[in-house]
Amino acid sequence: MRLPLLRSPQVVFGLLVAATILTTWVLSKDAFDSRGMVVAVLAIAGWKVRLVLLDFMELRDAPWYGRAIFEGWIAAVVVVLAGVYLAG
Amino acid sequence: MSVATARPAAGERRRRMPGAEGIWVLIAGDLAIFSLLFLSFLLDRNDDPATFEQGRQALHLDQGGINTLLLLTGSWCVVRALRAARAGDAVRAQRWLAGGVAGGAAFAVSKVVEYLREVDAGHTSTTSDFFMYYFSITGLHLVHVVVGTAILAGFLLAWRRRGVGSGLVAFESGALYWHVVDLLWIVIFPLLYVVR
Repeated sequence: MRLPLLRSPQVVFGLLVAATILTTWVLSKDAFDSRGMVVAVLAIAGWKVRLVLLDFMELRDAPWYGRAIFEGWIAAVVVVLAGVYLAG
Repeated sequence: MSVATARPAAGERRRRMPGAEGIWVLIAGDLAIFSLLFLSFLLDRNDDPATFEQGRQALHLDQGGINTLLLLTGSWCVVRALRAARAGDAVRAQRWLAGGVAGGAAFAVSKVVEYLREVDAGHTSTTSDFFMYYFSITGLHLVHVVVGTAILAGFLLAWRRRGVGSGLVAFESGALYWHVVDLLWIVIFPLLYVVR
């Protein structure tokens, strides 16, 4: 179900700012387990990139293959980076 | 075809890739290059985590976070500028676009200040593998920021001279490039400043 209000630039911008604050000034603290924190931070980065792709770059209204390529790219980046980090 | 004139009939949802033909190929190439840099960074980090952690701790996390907020704000301004331009509201479109240019310029200035702080602390690209990646990845990204800001400034000047009615697809392409600058930093920041 599409929720237009949640896709307004203001709301998307607010979500991106909130996620940035969470990453920079909360999760980065030493209080959190490193491995879990890093996976969470990479997942949050992937979610932020997806918001930019879909709502700022307007891929939400693009043909399916356009969305699939770029959503697939960021999903692959997050999975591979998290996997390489955890394997280290 | 101009977006402003390409209005679908009521009830019809016309799906299209925004921007000019070819811009998405350019974007895909850019993303592929940076993806390989990200992967290479983490693979090398796995070989020498102590050196990379030492380098990370020498970075200025707060400034990195503020830089992220500057780019996000610039991207939001560009989204609003495009929407205002499509609606034919020239005054608001120019104001929002000026905000986007200011966001890019502020990031560039902040990044140069950050480089100067690092060099002042004795950190250069030859200090360690971490700083080699730090200066390479953020330097390549900074070039994108400068080019993106110049593109936005060029559109701002063009709009002031000729109005916002024409060239909307071209501006869509410029806006897409700007958002790529933003989303690349969204990955670069945690990778360099937060991963420990």
